[in-house]
Amino acid sequence: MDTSEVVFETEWFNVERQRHDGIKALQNKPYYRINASDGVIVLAMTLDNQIILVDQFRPALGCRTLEIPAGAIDPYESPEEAAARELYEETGYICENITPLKNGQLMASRLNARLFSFLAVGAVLDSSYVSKEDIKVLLVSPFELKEYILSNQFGQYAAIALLVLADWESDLSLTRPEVS
Amino acid sequence: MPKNISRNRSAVISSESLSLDLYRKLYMTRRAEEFIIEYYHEDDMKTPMHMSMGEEAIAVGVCHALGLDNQIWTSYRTHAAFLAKTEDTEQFFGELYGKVTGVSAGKAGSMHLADPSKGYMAASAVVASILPSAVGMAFANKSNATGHISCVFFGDGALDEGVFWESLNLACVMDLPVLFVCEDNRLSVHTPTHIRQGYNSITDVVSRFSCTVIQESTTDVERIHTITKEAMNTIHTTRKPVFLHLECYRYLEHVGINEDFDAGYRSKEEYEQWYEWDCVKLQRERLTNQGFSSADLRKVESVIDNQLLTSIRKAQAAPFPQPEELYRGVFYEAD
Repeated sequence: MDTSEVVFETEWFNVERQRHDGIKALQNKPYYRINASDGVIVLAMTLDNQIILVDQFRPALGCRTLEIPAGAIDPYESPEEAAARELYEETGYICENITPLKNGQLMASRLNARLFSFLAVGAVLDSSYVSKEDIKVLLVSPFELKEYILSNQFGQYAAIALLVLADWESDLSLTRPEVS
Repeated sequence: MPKNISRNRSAVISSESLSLDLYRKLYMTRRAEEFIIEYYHEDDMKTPMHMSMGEEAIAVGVCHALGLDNQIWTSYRTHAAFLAKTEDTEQFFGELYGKVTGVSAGKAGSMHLADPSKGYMAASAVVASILPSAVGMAFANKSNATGHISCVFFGDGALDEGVFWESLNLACVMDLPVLFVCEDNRLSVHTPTHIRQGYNSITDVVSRFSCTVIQESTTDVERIHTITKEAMNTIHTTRKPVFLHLECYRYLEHVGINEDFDAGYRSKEEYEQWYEWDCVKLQRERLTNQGFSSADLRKVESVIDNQLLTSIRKAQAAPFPQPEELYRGVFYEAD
């Protein structure tokens, strides 16, 4: 990187203009990178192996979406702490068995944030939980989730990658679920 | 090339917890430097980097054997020694980012990482200059009958300095509890041993002194841990110094985060021969042979990855030191 300068800043992200004259495709033109907080995504399952989904409005898309819990990591928080917090804040579920899986990029072409993935098995609902957000919680079987994905009702691609990771790192069979 | 690594699976006799503890430290050190490489281009870490990559087994094996009570002193190649001795990734990255959360409040950088509270007394950027301090510490240990060992790490280039021989001589003549650890990568920056040293064997020359000399060429962290324990016992029983001569190979350039096989002083083939015996791979293989599944090991690795990345994020967000911090900690300050 030859030079860099933040050209736009918000509470959640900033846009940085960089020069990379050593890269042929970027010679004599600026490159814009989005700097944002790292995030977590949590594949959480109840004691009876139901996957916890959240239904919420996404202004970027102008519609409600079905997703698994996810969110930004606060500056002085570990990914593990953020995973437990996001799961509780969005769903009211508590899980003592949250396993870190891998971390990776969401959009390597433009965004430098990492996404840390977690598998939470045996989540239990806190009966005193009161939701502070306009989020509905759904419990679905792995087979129902597959149907949602294949029928375009679930488009959170990072979650689909997480299903694969969870299969590889556990004895679950989430990518080839049996009819429930 | 490392010579004495056994791949005989039935030869693994170490306890699982020791093997896993050593692997955790090796993996932490390697991944910390891989993340340095990933983030260094951002130019937020202003400190020059002397990377430990390839040589980690020595720092980890020796420091794990020493524990927290015995002291270490090192050259500027501090990363592996610091993490092996302290396991403090937040102070590590805080220091590399020059922030107040660093182990020296951001004033020391990569070349001077140290934490006396955990027995990492100091690191010096001047070749061999740390040796007299280590010997002085050993004199204090002996005078105060603490039972502690003062361990000093240095490269083979340090033997080209007169102060090395003076320090060795004094430690031998005064029967001081010093563990000399020579990390011999056969290079002084880019200059090979045969055009620097007028003798053929370091151990032959050092063995003429009144100390015990142990020589190994291995990337096996458990072997290094074992011989360090033996060396510590020897120091306690003979009340004489021990000189550990350990061969190793530096993967990256002398200073910086890149490979330098195009610089003309060494070949990629030599690297590839050493990498076959890479210390991290070797220890992971040992754990697999002990029954750890790949999933078990990846969980251990994911926890460390997350810890390192959290430390980086906290370092990035932390403030820089204030100007009044500049002279704090430079000289001894009475309580």
